[in-house]
Amino acid sequence: MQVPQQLIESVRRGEPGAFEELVRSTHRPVYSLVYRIVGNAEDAADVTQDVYLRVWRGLRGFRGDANFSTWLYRVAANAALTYVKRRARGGVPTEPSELPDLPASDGTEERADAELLEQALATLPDSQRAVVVLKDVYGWTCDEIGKQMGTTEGAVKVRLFRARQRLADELASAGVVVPLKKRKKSS
Amino acid sequence: MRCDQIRPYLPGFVGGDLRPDTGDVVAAHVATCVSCTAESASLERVRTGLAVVAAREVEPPAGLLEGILERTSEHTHRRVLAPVLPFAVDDVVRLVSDHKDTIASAAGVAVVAAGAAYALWRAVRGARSAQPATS
Ligand SMILES: [Zn+2]
Repeated sequence: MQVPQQLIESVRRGEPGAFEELVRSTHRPVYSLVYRIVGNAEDAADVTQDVYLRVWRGLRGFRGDANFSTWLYRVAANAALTYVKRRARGGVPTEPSELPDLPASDGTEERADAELLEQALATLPDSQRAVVVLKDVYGWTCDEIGKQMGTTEGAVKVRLFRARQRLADELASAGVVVPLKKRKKSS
Repeated sequence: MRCDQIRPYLPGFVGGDLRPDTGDVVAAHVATCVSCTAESASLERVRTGLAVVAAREVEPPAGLLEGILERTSEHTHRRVLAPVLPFAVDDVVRLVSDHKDTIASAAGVAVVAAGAAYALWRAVRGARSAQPATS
């Protein structure tokens, strides 16, 4: 996601149409990140609206020298994590998500894997999904994720490893990876 | 070291997320174990696949963009609330005065209507003068 510095300056100066242009050019990747963390389309749409309210309010305080995309993703991840945490406290079970509309695969192996993984992500428990999305999809460090989620790096790793294992199992059960002679313990 | 002792560490091993001493033990085992090598390969494939996921976009639901713009517009000074009202404030006032006779029989209703018109007027003024937050 590339946002021209000029556009950010225009938004900060309150130029007509600038904020709308900013939303137009960034809302799809932002929605994608939020969707991957909250796990269903309806909640993701609500949270994405909330993200842009936060962006609107926070933009005047945004330091021009920081990377805007990084900042925007951080605001989005923070809003999504807060939402997931509140949802967990409310005891509302995560709806088994409907599958998102994905662009057709062009047939390459990585893309086919990515398509399956995108769907498998939606089946993970909230806390595992959030961690593996931020770490393996968006490249955050476990330390950053821990700070953002208010937990320890160790706790983040436990969730991350479980999530990777579950996703590998999903790929195996989809026949993508030839399963080992079953996962029973060999010694 | 047995495979069942090593297995729980493989998801961390593939990403280089283990403590160095633990990583060394796992690496030494994997180097000599066909089954753990295969397991590592499938976990590695997960990581490669997830890295590709980042470049993809999930199709947002219809109306998301409009929803965002509408919600943020309530907080901007350029997009006033007035145009989205289904009627003009003046119309409410005229409506009330045109039906004075009917309404007069229920004085309370007139008070409520006037109050509503005033509230609408306040809302429109409020939206017009709202400025973006500064921090
Ligand atoms: Zn082994």
